[in-house]
Amino acid sequence: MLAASLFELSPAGEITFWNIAVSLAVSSSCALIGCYLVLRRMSLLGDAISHAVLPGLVIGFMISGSRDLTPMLIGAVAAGLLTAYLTEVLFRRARIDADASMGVVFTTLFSIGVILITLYHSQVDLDPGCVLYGQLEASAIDTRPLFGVELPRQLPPLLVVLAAVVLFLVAFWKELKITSFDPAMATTLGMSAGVIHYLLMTMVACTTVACFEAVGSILVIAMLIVPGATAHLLTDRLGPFVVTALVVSWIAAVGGYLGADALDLNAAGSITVALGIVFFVVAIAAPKHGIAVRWLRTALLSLRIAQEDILARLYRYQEREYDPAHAPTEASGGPKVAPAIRFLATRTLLWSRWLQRQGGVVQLTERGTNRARELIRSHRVWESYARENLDLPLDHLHASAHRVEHFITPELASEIREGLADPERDPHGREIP
Amino acid sequence: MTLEYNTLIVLVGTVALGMTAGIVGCLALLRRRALLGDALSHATLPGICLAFILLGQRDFPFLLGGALVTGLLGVTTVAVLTRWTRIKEDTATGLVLSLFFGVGITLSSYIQNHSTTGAQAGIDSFILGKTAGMVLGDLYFIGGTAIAVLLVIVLFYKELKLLSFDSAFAAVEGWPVLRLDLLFLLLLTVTTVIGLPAVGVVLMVALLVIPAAAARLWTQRLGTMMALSALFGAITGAVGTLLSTSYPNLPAGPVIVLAAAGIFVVSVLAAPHRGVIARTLSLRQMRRRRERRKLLVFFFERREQGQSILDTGDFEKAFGGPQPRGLSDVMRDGWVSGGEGSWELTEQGLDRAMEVTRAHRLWVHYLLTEAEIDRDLVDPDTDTIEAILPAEVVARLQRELRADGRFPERSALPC
Repeated sequence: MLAASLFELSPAGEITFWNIAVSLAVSSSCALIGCYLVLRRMSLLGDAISHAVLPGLVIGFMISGSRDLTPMLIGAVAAGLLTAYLTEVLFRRARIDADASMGVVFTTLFSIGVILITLYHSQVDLDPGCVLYGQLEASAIDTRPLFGVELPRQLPPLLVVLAAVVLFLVAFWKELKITSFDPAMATTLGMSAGVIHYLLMTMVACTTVACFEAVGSILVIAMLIVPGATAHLLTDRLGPFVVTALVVSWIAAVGGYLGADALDLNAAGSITVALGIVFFVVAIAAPKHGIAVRWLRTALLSLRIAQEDILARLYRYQEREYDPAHAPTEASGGPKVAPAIRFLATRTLLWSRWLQRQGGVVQLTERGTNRARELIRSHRVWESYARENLDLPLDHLHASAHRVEHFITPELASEIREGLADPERDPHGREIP
Repeated sequence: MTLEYNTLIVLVGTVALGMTAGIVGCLALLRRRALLGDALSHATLPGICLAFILLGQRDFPFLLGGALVTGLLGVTTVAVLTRWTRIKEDTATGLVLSLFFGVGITLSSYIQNHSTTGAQAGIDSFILGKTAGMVLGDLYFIGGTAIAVLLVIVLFYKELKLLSFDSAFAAVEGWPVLRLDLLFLLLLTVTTVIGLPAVGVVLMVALLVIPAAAARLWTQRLGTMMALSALFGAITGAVGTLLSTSYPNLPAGPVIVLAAAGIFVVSVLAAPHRGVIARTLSLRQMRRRRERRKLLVFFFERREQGQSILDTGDFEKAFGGPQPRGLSDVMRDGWVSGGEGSWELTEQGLDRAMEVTRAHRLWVHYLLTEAEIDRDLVDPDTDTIEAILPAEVVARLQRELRADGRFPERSALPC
């Protein structure tokens, strides 16, 4: 009992140790290969292959009569490649949409697999339940000696596949990178995108099969895709991307297994739930691509635009010497502004002394006037520019200027103005401040 | 074969289901959302389990109500992820599919390990489907929902059609595209949910995709496609049910899927225009037509050089064989006569060869001198240059060729 003597574990602890070891091995190989499925927008082909390997696996099993991995692996890889190939043939020859072709192929193959299992269940020691959600809990119980150490039977093949995946990624790092991001360039460089594609599909099939007993054919999709999808929200570079995916998968594997152990739940399902939790937390809170950050960014932008619209509006009223008492303070024109944002915009402008309230009337302060002048300048410079260079009719100028004014800095405005031979007035005949 | 009462109930149920799924599947296929149904059906599992945990027993409409809720949640999650994050649609689909299924499996293991009623079998039958358990009450439920779905499709046929083929155009025309899309998703979800008891979570997508994909091969019109798809769905349901009642230990889902796959394979092979057989035949026909024309042009060009009788040696040089393919064709058409090593054009053959050469040279000349047409679009081996180019252009081309001495006509031939 290697682990027990090393870590001074109780028998129950030993089971936990080996089960976690198996789930880590499963998660790592899935996460690594899954990164490329996510990047290449082939997640659904991963889904299709993980279903479709079933008949190959069963036939391999029936021929060899044991859970020996090699014949099952050969059968499954053949079935996996057949799926990729048939999908392509249906897409090209019969002109059926790629994902519909996939849907036809994998459901059919999966059905054949389930029927084979049910018909020959006396020979095939797999039950439909195991196909769907695996038996990770049972890994530590079924052990085989290897070099005098009792290891879970599943672990050595899983480690071999993991090693193969790592080797594949290292050996073809450059090719995978280029074919994933720019297949056209890869072709001009003399790489065969097709060969890499089928190699990748082979690796996906191998991984799926090796992980099959532990997590089944549907939850393996989560192990494949979710770490990559999570990492995709966190980083923009391939190296960190792969590492992040790996770490995410480890967190979920350990956390999920311990949770299942404590609450007496299905381990593979629970790891999937853990993956889901990690993913959704990241999807909401990721620093750059998260939903919350995006919302915040959009909210801040619309607040700024609403503020600037108010300033510009008041400036125009002052310019035309209208009675400021009638000047509306809310932003108007352009995109619709939520009442909350409008209210907030007025408040913040008052607080930060861009606006002041005098005798019940809101007016621009000194600061506010300066900022408003910049905005009006950007607006009118843009109108002149659009009239001059884009040849827009007069009544089309305002709408575009109203949008663009928020993004033209004073420096850019001066530059455009110089480029236009320093006009005094905009196309509508109003003075450019 | 006599049908038992139970079998009859199941049969009616699966046929109604197959028809509905076939029709809704057409919309999904044309919107290129075929696999969304996959994510959706997997996403119903946690709902079924939750409903079971809440209720503590297997009440059919209630479980399907739970399925509906999480199914819609799954579809919404796909939409939210693709809209608000950089996750692409395929990843979002796979993600929802596997994560929701994982939650379902976890809940299902909770039921198995903690529930006192021990009615786990009720849940398990939803995963791979079990038609045998259907009772008359379930049938009313499925039938009623199916009729409602069909009614909605009939009412909104024009709108859904527009949405399926050109949603951008629909938006420009001022149709409420978002609301119609929601309607479509609702139809898809409801259909998926009523299909669960028969086909199961894992394979429901097959019932949506396969009949529709098969029907797509036979026709170009949406109405016909829906009718065919409904027919295929009905056959699938009937055959699948009869088979799975004969082998009750088989889960129904896979059997039904294989029945659908059978129809699909037949369609791929036998469909007109798009089927493999039809395409192979038309390809072969085109090839033969080409060879025939090539041969006629060859005869004519030799004739222009003063040689009217050709022998195997001539063919050997030009076609790499003593008897080019297509020779028997032109002889059967009566354009070439001869045999025993020497052949010549007949009177009609000469006319025909002249026409063919004329069209060919006009095209080549046109392509060489003023081709602004994409060369790939033009088949120089057609007679129809007059039908494609304006008359005055053809006349000019003819003048130019004639001035060149290359316009095929009898007066220009050496005797």
